[in-house]
Amino acid sequence: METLRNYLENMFMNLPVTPEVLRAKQELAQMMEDKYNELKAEGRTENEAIGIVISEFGNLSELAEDLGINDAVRAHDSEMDMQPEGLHVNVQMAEAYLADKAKSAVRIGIGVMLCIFSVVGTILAAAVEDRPVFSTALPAGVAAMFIMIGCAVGLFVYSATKDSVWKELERGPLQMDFSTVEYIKNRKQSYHPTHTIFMTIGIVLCVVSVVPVTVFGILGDRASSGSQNAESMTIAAAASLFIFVGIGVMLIVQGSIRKEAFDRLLNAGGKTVASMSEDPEYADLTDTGKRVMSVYWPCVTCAYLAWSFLTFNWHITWIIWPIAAVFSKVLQAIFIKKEAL
Amino acid sequence: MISSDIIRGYNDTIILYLLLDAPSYGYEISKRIRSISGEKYIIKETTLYSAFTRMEKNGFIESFYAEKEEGGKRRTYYRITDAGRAYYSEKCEEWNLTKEVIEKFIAKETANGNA
Repeated sequence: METLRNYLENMFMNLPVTPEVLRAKQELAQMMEDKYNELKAEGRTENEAIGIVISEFGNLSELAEDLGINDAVRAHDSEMDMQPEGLHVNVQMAEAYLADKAKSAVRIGIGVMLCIFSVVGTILAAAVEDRPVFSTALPAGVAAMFIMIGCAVGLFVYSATKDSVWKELERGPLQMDFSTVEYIKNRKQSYHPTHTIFMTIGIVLCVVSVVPVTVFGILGDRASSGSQNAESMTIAAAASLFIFVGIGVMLIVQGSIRKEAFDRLLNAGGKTVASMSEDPEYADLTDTGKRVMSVYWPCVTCAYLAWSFLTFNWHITWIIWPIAAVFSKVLQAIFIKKEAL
Repeated sequence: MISSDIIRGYNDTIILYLLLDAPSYGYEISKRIRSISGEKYIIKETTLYSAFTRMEKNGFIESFYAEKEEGGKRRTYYRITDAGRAYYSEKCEEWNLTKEVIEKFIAKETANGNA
């Protein structure tokens, strides 16, 4: 019910507050609520009920004349006229696009996770390699790696094929009426908490991923450097790093793809949201700065992995992360736009 | 599903028909349109409300607040006026005429014989 209230609220947000408009809003709210309650009573799920109510709601431009809000509605429609040959998108289509994108976000997220997981097998195999019992461990680890990468590639290709039906929509420009834009904005708003949770857990997992290697690295050093057991522990901890990072990245990728789907619709259609796809943290940077920052963290990650694998000093290499975090702020300060100061 | 362009001119008639016997409110009217039409016509909320305001302005219906049952929610009810009844029978005649005329131009399927 909250979603419907927000939907109506957003729809009326830019309209003048006159007695006629208020009455219309109240009446429409009552009708929507009655319909929603009855659908729920018939055993529909929350989402089904909301979907039906919104798809049968109609269009505010129908009321424009009666309410004396012609100007407000026309202002929006004339914005639309500037891109007359755009693909027309209605609520059902936007809904289908968002649902497809959510599914493909899961697939791509799992694919990326498998890619990251794929190294775990070989790391573990390396840990037990010298023991005769595990003589087949390394080939098995390598085989597992290729199987996981294979599955991941399969998922990527499948997603790409599935997504290709939306090629035209994603290329834009799109034509959407007032209520569709409001509907998408509203869906985006209700997705926002989920997005925050995905991103937060994802980032936390990536950060804590270094904890086991650090702890075991230090413990291993103290115990007896060179002891086979301590070394195996460190390597096992290194493997756990990839498990954490894998799950974390999966959540981040999934969250980002779903958010991007909303922004794409809104950017291409409503023109109400200006370049939301840009990372707001870097919004104040010059173009060079944005380019540098976009490759910064991947480079740091590569450096970390390269250093760690070449030296196997997992207990020291983590120091890259705090240094990199500080240095990223320095870079951002260097590349800041003059006007933002 | 009926094209809303075609049916637009008769939304008023449909709503007035449903008010002939007793006053009613928004959702009940939309529900009855749906069931009487055998789910073939689902009126949009905005269409319905737009018809209400227009007909109220023209004096065909009047609105008042009432509770459905004791202690129930207060809703806006609509009641048909005498002008509304007159308008309704006018529209009925108009439709009969329209139907008669258009019917003459609708090709009969061969299955019905060579009419």
